[in-house]
Amino acid sequence: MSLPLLALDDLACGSRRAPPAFGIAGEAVTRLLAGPAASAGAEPYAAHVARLGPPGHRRQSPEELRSAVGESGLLGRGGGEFPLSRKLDLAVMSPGDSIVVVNASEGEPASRKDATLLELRPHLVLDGADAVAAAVGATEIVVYLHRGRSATDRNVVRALIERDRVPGAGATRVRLVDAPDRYVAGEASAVVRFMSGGAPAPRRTSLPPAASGVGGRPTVVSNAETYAHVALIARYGAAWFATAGSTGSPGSTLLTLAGDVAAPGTVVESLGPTTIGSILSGPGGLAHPPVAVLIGGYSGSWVDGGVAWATPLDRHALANAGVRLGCGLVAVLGTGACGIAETARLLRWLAGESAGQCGPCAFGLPAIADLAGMLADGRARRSDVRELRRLAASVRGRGACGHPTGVAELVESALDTFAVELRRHLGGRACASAGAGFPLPQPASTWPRS
Amino acid sequence: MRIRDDALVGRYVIRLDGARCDGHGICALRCPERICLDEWGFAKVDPRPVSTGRALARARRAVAACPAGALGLVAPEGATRGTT
Repeated sequence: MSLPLLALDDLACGSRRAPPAFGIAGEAVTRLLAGPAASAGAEPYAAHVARLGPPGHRRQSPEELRSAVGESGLLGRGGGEFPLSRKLDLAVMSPGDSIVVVNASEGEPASRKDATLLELRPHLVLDGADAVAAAVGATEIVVYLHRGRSATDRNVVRALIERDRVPGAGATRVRLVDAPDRYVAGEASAVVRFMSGGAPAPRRTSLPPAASGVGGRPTVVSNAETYAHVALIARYGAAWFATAGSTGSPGSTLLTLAGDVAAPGTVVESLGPTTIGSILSGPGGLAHPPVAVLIGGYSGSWVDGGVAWATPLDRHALANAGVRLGCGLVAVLGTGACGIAETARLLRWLAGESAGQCGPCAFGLPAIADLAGMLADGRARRSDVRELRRLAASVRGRGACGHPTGVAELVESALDTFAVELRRHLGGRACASAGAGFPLPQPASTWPRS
Repeated sequence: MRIRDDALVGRYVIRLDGARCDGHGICALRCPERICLDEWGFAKVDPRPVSTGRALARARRAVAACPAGALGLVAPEGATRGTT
């Protein structure tokens, strides 16, 4: 018997198959969004398997799967940028039946990447969840998403029905949990608390969810996009995964373009190395750098448009510049809009999204929003700006979750980025802001308590 | 055998659960080296390790005095925590 010619890597990986040529002819090469056009809707299971091959986790042991995820260097794509392999290792080490939670709540108002992924490639996310469940020996998968009012929900239900008919496709039981419409309800500890029967609000715990989560069971909570990457890592391996992205943050990244772009809510996939400018100037994009972009979410960082244009779009490089790519939101400030007024608007909404559990957040965020509102109205003095900076620094790093810290980042980056606008507002002049601004959901009336 | 405080100096930080803190303020009186109160009366903790034996004793008293049970003395947070 003669062996076909194999590279060393192939021998080591056994039956691992070569990745297909990703991407559609004439379009940028993509991974998660490769395949049929968006207009075709959700990719059916048969087409998904025909295109990508059978799920990779079925021919690997849990140890092999965990080491593939570890070698890939995959970081969570929900905003925390925490290595997924550490969660898997913790879950395996901890006593009790593990649960795998696919967090698709996407509480960031302008972000659409998880919804898009579940609408177009639900089986990629579900394959990834199956792979993680196999890797940690989980007995249950939970998809945490907004139920009953979205194409996402319909497509996930349809995909699960499809998988039920395929022998071996859905080995682990999948349950859907309706995520409350709150900004902080998607934070991992809030997800765990809500699923344990409590309020959908973050809490400080001595053990992370992966060690002790829902009902004390080890709970791997990660973002929907993270699982989609796992589905491809299980198929094509860690080395292939790392051929995109950078050493500090390997793999491709989904981004949502929002604000003053041709089609707000457009989701693009970046394979790096690239710049924010080249992403924004893509098909139907901007011809010139905008005044400013907000990166990472509504509690992210403002970056001067010219600076952002040349900045590498890479989690690691951005983190070194003090900017978190977070959930991958890149929101462009409109030409007629004022960054100070827009920030004040966002701050008022963010203050309303506080769960009201921690003093610095419950008292500090409304105080910050009041001062920013005065500033936007042209009623603030220099001392008020100093007070705004002091309050932002005061709430940073406090409370049970990252909400106050995110607000502090928004405030500080706005004051640094919009120095010209700031002077105009301090001169008592009317705000020149025009346009609708970034989308904001209606604030919820009260907080569910438990 | 009781472990002498000297051996523990520099190895603990005060951990605050912000969601439990009700702003009683007693902690800041007990351990001013590491705890102060903000403008609304809520505890603000210096995240550096407690560096002297005296401060460690005070930190213990602050933890014990909190009516809300919001304080703890713990080893500096490991790398195992994460969010999604």
